[in-house]
Amino acid sequence: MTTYTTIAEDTRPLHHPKTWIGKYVWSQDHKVIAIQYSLTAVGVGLVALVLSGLMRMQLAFPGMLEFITPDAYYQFVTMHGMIMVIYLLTALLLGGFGNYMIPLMIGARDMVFPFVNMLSYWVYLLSVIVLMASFFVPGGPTGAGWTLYPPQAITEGTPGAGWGIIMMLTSLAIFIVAFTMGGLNYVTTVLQARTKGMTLMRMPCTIWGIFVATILGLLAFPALFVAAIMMTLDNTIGTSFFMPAIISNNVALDHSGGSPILFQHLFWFFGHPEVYIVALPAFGIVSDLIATHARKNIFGYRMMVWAIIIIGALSFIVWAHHMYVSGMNPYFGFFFATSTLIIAVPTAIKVYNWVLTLWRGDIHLRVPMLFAIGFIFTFIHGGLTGLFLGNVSVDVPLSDTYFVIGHFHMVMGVSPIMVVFGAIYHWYPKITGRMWDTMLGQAHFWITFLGVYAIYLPMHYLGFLGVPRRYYEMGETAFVPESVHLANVGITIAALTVGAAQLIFFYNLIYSYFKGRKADPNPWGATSLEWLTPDTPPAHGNWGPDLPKVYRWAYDYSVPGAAQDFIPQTTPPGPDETPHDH
Amino acid sequence: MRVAIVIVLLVIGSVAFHFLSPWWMTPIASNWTELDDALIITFWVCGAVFIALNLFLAYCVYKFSHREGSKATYEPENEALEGRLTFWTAIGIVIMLAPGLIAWNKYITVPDDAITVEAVGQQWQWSFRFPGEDGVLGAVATEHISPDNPFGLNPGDPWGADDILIDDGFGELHLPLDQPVKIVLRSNDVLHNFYVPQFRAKMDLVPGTFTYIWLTPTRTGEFEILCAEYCGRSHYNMRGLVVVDETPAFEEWLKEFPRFGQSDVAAAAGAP
Amino acid sequence: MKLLRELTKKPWLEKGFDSDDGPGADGIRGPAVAATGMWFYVGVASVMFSLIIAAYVLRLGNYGADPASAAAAKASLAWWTLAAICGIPPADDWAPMAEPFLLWINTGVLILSSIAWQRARGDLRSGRMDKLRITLTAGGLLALVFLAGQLTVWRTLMASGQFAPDGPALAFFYLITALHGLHMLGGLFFWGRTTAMVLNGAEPAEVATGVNVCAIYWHYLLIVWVVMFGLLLIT
Repeated sequence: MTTYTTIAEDTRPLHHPKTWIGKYVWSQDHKVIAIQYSLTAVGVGLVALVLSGLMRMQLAFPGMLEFITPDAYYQFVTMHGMIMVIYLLTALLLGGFGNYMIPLMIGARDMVFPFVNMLSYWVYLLSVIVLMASFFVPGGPTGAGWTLYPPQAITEGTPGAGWGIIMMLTSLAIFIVAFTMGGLNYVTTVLQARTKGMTLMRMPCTIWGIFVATILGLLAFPALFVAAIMMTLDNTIGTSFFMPAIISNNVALDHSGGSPILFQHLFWFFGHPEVYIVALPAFGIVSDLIATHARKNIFGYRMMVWAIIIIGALSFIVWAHHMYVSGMNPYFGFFFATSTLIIAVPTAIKVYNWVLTLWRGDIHLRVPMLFAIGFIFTFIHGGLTGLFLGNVSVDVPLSDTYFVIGHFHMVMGVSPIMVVFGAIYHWYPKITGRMWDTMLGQAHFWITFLGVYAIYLPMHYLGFLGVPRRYYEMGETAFVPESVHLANVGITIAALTVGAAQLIFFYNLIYSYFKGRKADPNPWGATSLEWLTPDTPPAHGNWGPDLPKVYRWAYDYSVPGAAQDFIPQTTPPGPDETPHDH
Repeated sequence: MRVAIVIVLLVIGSVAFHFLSPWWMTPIASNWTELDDALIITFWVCGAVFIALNLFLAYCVYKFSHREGSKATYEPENEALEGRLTFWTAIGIVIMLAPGLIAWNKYITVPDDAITVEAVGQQWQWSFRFPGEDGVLGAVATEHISPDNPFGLNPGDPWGADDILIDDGFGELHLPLDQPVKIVLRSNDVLHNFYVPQFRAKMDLVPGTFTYIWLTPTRTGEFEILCAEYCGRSHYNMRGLVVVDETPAFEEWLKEFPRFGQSDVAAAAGAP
Repeated sequence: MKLLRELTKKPWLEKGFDSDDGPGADGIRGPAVAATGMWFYVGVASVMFSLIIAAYVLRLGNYGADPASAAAAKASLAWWTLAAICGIPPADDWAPMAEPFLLWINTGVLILSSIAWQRARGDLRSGRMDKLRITLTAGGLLALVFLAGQLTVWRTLMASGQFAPDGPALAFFYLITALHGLHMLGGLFFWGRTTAMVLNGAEPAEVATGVNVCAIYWHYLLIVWVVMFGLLLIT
């Protein structure tokens, strides 16, 4: 009980860099690696944002930008999707937030494998470089759609079917190696580097979300890895894993017997858990934002943790709901529709509990809380539209229409990004030691929140109408009224506005980094460990001479009888509190 | 206050958008009202939940925003409440799922009196094949495909001789009114999807195998076929046309097209 | 069960902590982190190899044009359960592969390698570092012999004109052996580190984790290979 761990006794090797390069480039400090991951992810995400702007220009004003040919359009579609899902969201939420928050929130000095952690970032950077390089290879990047379905992904009728697809598959394989290295680190750290008193059920929801999402990633990415290798072999040396006998460009290809649907199964065995790899960290983080800024414990903490685990487990048996009209065995529709709608129950409970946390709370509408509320709204919308697409026969008329675009952007684009913004505003004072500008933060929130709803709400209705997705232009189509064109113009204006509004965000972050006022170590009165570091920003090794000790869960907000409306996790039990009974 | 008002306005705006916007399901032209019904049920259940949850959210934000001296209630959990919410959510799920599964069962079960037609996709056009009097489509294989035999019919298969080939470059298919039809789907190159918005039904064409949908056209008219599975650079231009006719007009139209037995390929192979 | 009890606790009721709950002086709870990391990686690799098996069976079940082979395939339960997922019955291009006899010898070598690793664990437990040097070296070298044997199989196949595109069974064979070999190479990297430490006179405690983790990983790769080889043999 009374032994204190000190740096001198701490036999675990902690790499102490001597030079600037050792500190900020070849760094093994989880915080530096987190920043490297985040900056790279956001950087490449900006490329994807620009691509979406170009796509919107083409849809609203067909032919106005002459360089957007059908080939270019489909390349933009593909790269936008792949970058956003994998290289931005997965990397940012796990490589960025996971890296920064895990050791700090569980009271560790660093990840358990700091060297592997560093390697993970550099391999990730390599995958990004390979991906970006595909813009410059002959034929340009692949335009196969982010799902990369064969045969079209590797046949001549698709842009980038030569070099582009090889670069994409290579980059994905490299990314998966990077993710696996990082992921092994995150799960082992959560399991074994928790400080004294940090039991599993005292971990903040953020850690639960990141932890379960990482396990999902570790178990799901191998499917994409295998699929990528098999497709590369089909493409380069002419095997027939996925390629049946087909005609391409009037020539019979030298393949036979392969199964395109086999690829789809592998892809979605990865692809559906991937949705939750993005969503679960967001679920966890937003729970902590809401609890902190509503000065109330997250309502039903146990249910929230169980829901994260149940959703994670169920996410492996719902993959074929992406394939209702793919030509797979039609009887699978019954099973996958049922399993998919079952997953809605724990998800709904999470939504109820977020709102019930606000109920009778003491809500401080600071910018992180605004984004959390924005998340609840957009996630309710995106989650409910998921019930349409998950229900097999409702999916039939809606699949491959703009309804799908509207749905998945709301549920796994907009709502996680709301959480990302909220989280950045929330932790920025700790990470940089400075405060951001409130007015700019609010402006950023309102334009983004209202803007994205203006973008995606109409898309659902275009989907009801039947407008198909992945169309370079609609041209003359009898069932599509002229008003759809107006909608496209409106959506594009909203999209460009939202895109431009992100400049406010970056200006705010950069300006505040240099000129913002010094931040309080714990400006929001939060209970969890990351706010209790001796230094702000946390120094190398995080905790000074002694590791923190945890006496309570992360949600002792507004406890009756307490002097303040929060009790940090490191505060020993008071006289009125029942101590641990053992 | 401001946040609560905006949320309420967004809810009102969404409802208003639903009623005022000109976009809703394109008028149906097939028997698949079950799909529409399942969608409508889902729409109203989800719509009600959307309104209720967000209004409650707005209420919470309005009522419990920080004021001088206000304090949050300490309530770690409420198992009874969480149990009730779980129960009612499950009920809602069943209400949506049941009609969906029933409709799906019908969707994948082709009625016995359905006639057969094959739709063939190839980058980036549609062609069609009727089985002729014998009601059986002749065997096909990629290796038989040639400029003279674009469907890849096996000349040695006797069932193929009376197959009626519709490959006029327009991608126009006529179907008889009120007659159930099974549309067998086949692709010669990549994935495509046979999609007529007014029919609601859709399904991928998968190279290397056959898939199908079935439907009964319920009104005459012209309906566009759109490819709904991304199939390469001209995906958006892969259009076709379904014309639903009264039966006599349909039969008149079908007479115009050649049979495989009349083709040079079949003649060369010595088929009947 | 312990986990279930842990997960159903009401954390807001419990303050303070058990004196035995928490990390040791090195900030780590429980067993060596390298072992945990290895076990998680075994999970990752297992998913990967399982998916390859699934893909293999699905591709195998991809019969169609030939009714006789389709009927034969459908007689097996495995085909029904797995090919149903695939949902399509196409081509009949599956040609079983004639497994070269050398694969049996390679399998034997890999078994010997695992035995050497197991003996190395025993030597470590009894603290006999002199014997550990021999068993460790043997374990690694036998693995290298295994890899060389696999390469020879590749070369023999290619010399007789059997390349990956020549049939799905061959394609899977190359894919499986390549991935398995890469995993073995990864293991050999850690073998090299551990062996170098032992040869440089490290204490048993310093290399204990390395030897144990590597040994278990070797056994795992043996199991993977036996399963994969069995799959190749029965098809």
